Amino acid sequence: MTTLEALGTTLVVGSGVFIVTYYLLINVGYLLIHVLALVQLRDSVRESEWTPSFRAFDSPFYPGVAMVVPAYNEAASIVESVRSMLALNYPDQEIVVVNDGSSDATLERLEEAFGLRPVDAEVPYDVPSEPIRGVYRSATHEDLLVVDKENGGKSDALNAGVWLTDQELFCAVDADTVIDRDALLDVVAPFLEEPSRTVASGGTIRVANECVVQDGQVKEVNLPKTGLAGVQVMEYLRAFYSGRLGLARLKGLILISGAFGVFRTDRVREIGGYRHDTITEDFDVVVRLHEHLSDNDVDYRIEFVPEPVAWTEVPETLRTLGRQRRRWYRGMMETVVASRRMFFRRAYGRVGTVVLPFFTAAEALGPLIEGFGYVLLPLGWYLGILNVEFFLLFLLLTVGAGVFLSWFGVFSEVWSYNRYESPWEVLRLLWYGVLENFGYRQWKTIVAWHGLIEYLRGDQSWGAMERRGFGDAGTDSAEAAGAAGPGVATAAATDSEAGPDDSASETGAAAAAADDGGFVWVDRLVDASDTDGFRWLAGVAADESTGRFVPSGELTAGAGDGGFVWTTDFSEGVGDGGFVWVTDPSLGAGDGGFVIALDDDGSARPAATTDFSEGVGDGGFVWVTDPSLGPADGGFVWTRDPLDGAGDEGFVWVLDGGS
Amino acid sequence: MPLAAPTTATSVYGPLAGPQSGTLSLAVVVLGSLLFAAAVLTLGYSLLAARRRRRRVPMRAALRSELLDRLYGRDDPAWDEWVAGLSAAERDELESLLDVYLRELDGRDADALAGLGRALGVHERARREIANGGYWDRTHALVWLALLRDAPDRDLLRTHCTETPRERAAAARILYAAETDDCATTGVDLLLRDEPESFSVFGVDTLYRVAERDPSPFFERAAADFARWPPALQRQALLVVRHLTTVVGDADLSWVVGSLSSPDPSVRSAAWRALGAYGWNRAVRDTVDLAAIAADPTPPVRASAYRALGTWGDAEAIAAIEAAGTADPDARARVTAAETLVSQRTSAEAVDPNDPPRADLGADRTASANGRSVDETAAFDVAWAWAVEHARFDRLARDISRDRDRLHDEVRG
Repeated sequence: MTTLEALGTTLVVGSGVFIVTYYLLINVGYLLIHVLALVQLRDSVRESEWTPSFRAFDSPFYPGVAMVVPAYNEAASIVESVRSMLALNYPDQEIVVVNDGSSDATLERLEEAFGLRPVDAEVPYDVPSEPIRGVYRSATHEDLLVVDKENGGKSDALNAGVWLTDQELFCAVDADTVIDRDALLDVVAPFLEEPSRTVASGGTIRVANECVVQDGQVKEVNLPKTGLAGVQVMEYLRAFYSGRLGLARLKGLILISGAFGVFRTDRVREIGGYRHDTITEDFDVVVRLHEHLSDNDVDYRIEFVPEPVAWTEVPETLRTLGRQRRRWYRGMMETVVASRRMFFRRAYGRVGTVVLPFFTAAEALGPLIEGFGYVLLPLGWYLGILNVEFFLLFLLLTVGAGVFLSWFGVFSEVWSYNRYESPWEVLRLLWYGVLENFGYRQWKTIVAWHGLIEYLRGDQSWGAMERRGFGDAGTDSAEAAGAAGPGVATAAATDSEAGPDDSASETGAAAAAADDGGFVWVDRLVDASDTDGFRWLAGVAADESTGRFVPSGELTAGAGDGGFVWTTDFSEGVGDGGFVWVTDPSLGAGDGGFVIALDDDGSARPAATTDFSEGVGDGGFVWVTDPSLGPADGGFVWTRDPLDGAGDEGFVWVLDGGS
Repeated sequence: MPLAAPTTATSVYGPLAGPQSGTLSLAVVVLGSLLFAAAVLTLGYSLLAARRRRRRVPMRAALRSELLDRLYGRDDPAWDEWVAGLSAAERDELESLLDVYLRELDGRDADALAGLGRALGVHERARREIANGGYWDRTHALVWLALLRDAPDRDLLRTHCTETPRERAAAARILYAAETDDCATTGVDLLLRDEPESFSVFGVDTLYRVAERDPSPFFERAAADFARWPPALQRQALLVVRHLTTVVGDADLSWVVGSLSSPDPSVRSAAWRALGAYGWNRAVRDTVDLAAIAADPTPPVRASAYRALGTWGDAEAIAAIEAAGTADPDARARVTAAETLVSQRTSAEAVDPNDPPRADLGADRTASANGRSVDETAAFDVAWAWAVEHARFDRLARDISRDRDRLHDEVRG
């Protein structure tokens, strides 16, 4: 054996030992968390079975709750969502819908349905959000407030709602989340039990795919038919019934789902509200609450209540799921890095000394190290140093440990609330716990590495979330963005991603306003470097830069951080739509679009116009959310990944004079 | 997670042997057993739950039908006779139904259902569990007795039910539900004796209910012990005072007024809200320094003061709000002051969004006349316009009179 071979062998063997040790420690940690979760679940079940002999609606002491609902392009479902929330069982409730600069008819639908009229007065508070265009009240529903503001993303919209309510508590909820009728009563239970100490409380998110939803309520709980969604059901159970319960037992809950969580309004205002520069605002806000309250030596508690349930739709394609998980990973990294000063400091209690370090090791670094292991495996085989017997035995153990932890989550559900009533469905859940270890788990390590690269590159996009919609309120729309929560595997896991917003600002080519105007290229919109792209503006003259499209396999080669690719599925892009070629400009958002104009030197450039006869050919590009409006059932969407499109390259915009 | 390499150099070039292989084999066996147990337990629970549901759902429907028939369809429900013929599972399900209906029904219906509880043996069992049961048995038993309006011996409650705030509240609740003569005296004693801690919302509600029956024991206890209570409990006591509607006569309220000087801003805030109900009491009012409101450094305390003064509603109180509220440096406190002042105007016509009140300006409505900056005046104007607008919408949404159409047109423009 040469020196080089010996060195390589030592490196591989050393790495293997490190990975094995790391893996064992993490799994021991997980196992402890799961055991703690079981104890906590037992207590939670007991607690939920004890109902005091008084009537909530007769008591003047229930804290008021504002349901803060950020809404971006939710025209199809917003009215149904608000009606559903107005029907929740709770004695003192307000609904605050924040229209986050939607480019569709979200506000108009609300106006029609609830008799909204503008409040003819200036907002008297300094709200840490994008400018508020108007505040609306309902002529029929005293407890409904609608805030119309410039687009600023989900965090921004939440801040507007938090600042414009007077309620003691607020519940952050996604517009397309279905909430059980009594869920609000249940999720405030920690605030009822210890009113002076509780600052936040989170509920369980479950998967709504294939469930029967009627009148804004889940009437029948079913397991999804596809394996991908089914595996996510199992992941959600493991995350909520094992991970979060265990962390709550440790007094170290660091994540409350953005799709359904209740907070003390004044405490969130004290920390300045939600941060705008994070894509997992729900994770970030809880960690910052821990930090702030510990810094100020406040006796507080942040609780998780397993029974109150909100339902959300999960991605059913690997591409959409990958996008979601990459975003979660980036958000997790952001929050972990932002909270680094809390690590290993006793001043922050178990959150600083145990939870954050373990979470980082398990959820942030774990998948990366696991992925590294998958690379070492063929390398070891190639070098002839792979002990097959050992490998097979250990693979059995590691897969076995993974399956056991997954089954723990399923058992917790069956043992406690048992929403999946059919034993056959439970069997399927157990099967998913096995299945995820073969392929899905390995795929997630690739996603984590991809997410890490995006994080290091400063990617702030939310990506598109493809949804089929619920029952009678189905939306059938591909929505830009939204959502919450880092979540990743076991300990902290998945959240809603349901969500509106963070829309135009991160979707590059998205956000077509309904006003007259044209599509223009805007460089570094609102000081956010990731928002370059075509934007529909009321005045085309707002931008004076000129340039041209050039084909490229590297979409970061041009101005901005992405480009356009051709696809028949608009959810592939990061916006909520794309450009299609039509002959009638009125088919798109706004009154016009882009034609291809030829310059004197023969070069082509897009020109904004409302008259498509001005360009080459008999039509032009308009912004739509339905790709079938174009003659070829497809169009161009904005993306950062050329593989999102039908080919392996796209078009990037190169400024004149630039490279 | 698969491994890329073996754990020791010695195992690199050959199959595992000896202790290492044995350890791994043992681990596989242990893990396999755990997996097997987890699968069996999970599926077993699921099957049992499904079987139970299949049996219980029709059983419950039949029992509900029979229960309602006996409750409303007969002169004599004959609970004992019915219960005697039921199986254990049926009795269990019937208890669950009884719990549901006792929470929904009042009066004679509830009294009749108490008879069913007796037939099921709930009364006796609850007493046994209070005396001998664990925490959860005891707290469930207390709830049962409150639902059945059946107050047990007071010594039983005092001896076994004062360990936690929840037990105290659940015990006092029984006395309130059963409408016993000593509801207020014993109830307050159970809740606040020895070294009480802060309560849950249920506990605060119970304290409020027993104090509503007769406020004297509560006020006497608070006057004696208030200073020793933790701030959270002080806030809750003040919250109860705020909501009490029963006349307290000559009760000692010095502890409420004294709370205005508490170092804890949340206690000061609660004290102001509590005093809102005592604007009629000149003796109390004379001890309150209205001029000090503006000096309180905490905006929510000032806002609570404005609300309290608004509840008093007389000229002196309104003048105090105008003096402090219109120049309040905090936006939320300003809005609260504006809302309070708007609420003093009785009709829509009387409230002009462009004519906010000014403190001590008299005929000369210039900002400088009062030493007040233009910014302060403008800030209150914004708060005033906001409050006026929201008051209009509130009136509209609440109005069920014939004026509603007019209001509706007014708001819709």
